[in-house]
Amino acid sequence: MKPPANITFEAVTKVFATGARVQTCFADLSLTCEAGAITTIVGASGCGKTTFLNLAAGLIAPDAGTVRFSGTPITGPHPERGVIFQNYALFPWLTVAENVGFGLRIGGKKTQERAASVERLLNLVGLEHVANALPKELSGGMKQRCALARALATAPRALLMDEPFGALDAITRARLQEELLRILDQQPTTILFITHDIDEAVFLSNRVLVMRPYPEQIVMDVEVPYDRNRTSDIRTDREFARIKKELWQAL
Amino acid sequence: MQEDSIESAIVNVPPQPRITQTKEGAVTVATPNDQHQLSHQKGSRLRATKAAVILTGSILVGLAIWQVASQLVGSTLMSSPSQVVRWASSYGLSNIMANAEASWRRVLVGFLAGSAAAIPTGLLMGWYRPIRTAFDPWIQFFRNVPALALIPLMILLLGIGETPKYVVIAIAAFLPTTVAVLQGVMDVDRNLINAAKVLGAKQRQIFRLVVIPSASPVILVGSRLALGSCWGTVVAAELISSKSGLGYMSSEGQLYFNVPEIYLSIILIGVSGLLMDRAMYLLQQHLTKWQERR
Ligand SMILES: Nc1ncnc2c1ncn2[C@@H]1O[C@H](COP(=O)(O)OP(=O)(O)O)[C@@H](O)[C@H]1O
Ligand SMILES: [Mg+2]
Repeated sequence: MKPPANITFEAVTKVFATGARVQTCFADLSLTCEAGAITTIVGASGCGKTTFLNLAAGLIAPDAGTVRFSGTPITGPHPERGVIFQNYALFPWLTVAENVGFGLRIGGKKTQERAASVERLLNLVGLEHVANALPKELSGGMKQRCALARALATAPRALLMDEPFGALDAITRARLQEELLRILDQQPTTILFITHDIDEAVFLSNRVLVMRPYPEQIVMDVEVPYDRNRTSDIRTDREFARIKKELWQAL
Repeated sequence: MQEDSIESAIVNVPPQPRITQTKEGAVTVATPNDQHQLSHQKGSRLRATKAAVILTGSILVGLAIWQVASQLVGSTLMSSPSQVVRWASSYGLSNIMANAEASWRRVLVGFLAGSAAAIPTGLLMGWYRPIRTAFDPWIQFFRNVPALALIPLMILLLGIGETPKYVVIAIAAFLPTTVAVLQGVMDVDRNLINAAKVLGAKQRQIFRLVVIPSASPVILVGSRLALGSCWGTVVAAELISSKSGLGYMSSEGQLYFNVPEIYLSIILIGVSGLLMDRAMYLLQQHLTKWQERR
């Protein structure tokens, strides 16, 4: 397995032209997501979080500047950069196991060759008992686990997560956050995490960035001191509360 | 997984025996799970039986009204069900089947040919904008010309054999199917395409593994409409020019003033159309099981 790699934004500019109106999303934005770390961007909706993630995914191209992965300019999507979408984006006609195996199938692996990897991933995310279920039969939390397993199947060196737990209830969300940290222990990757939930941002991240709409862009950059073996206990910490307060003020 | 252990814990609460009295007065003892399933099964079976009884009753009452009405009217133009049955048995099952077979064959050949042409056309139109722009005016134009209107021209062009019928029916299938395939492709969720892209899928793979399955429910709805349109077209084509088929039976009945034959052909046309539509519906349900239904 290839080691995690960093994502670098170098003087990136992105504008959207809708009809006669030209709207700047970012101008001259530079930023590095460190290899193997969890970097989280928090911000109100419409401030450009998804656009930022889509640039890193290679789903859209910058108008100026370069986005690099492991030093190489990104020219399009690649399975070494997995993406988790907010609305899960599971293929509804495929079973859970088939969804998880999709990336391997694209990569040319035959059904038998895929079986062992798929089984390992289903166990990792705890979906082995619904391997043959269709997405419509799953709860929101299970759908997002399935999406996570699907993204991990191609052994990505980075995982880009766009408000992945945004549609879940608070209890499920808290569980999945802990679960995500445990899973990343087993399969380390660079994480770019997007959320509008400050608690989630502080709990998961090594570093939290606060984004505001252009021209403000990144208004705060905070290191979170906890190590990767953190548990929900830290949520009641003084330090945890202090960081949250600081972030709230920046938002 | 913690969340799921909670979820399954909810499902697997130690079953509490529960004593209940059903509407019919029977007292049952069942665990909540069992009871739920049992009453559900019993309920749906009961409903199915009820529906079958009502359906049979409805058909019998309808036939009875028809019989009485035709006797009251006493007109030669209103055959009674018994007259139709009597005429059918004198005409012979093999003759009836030969006509039915002719119509079914024309519909199936035309429908399959039309669909086979429509699916690639619609897919290409949906996927490539220039192709869509070029084809769209023609599809829109011919969609507004009923295939029936082409029958006289096709007979002149292709003679009076089977070919013009196949062609007209194929056209009747082609247009609604093309429009449905096009719609299906254009409506594919961008998120699913992006999900495939980030997993490394190239254009061809996206097309085969995402676009086609995603569009299939809309395509199947279009096929069902197309089959209905084919059936209407074949009957009309047989009325105009044919020496066989269910439509021909009707025009033969008119020609020789054989009223029961007209009634029989109407019944067979209705039943055939209904069977085709049901078959298509079942296929559609089977192939789109994965869809979320309200
Ligand atoms: N494809 C697009 N065309 C035009 N405007 C867009 C497009 N995508 C995003 N935008 C605009 O860019 C801004 C940032 O959008 P987005 O990145 O989706 O924000 P967020 O994910 O933070 O809610 C919004 O004002 C949005 O209207
Ligand atoms: Mg967004």
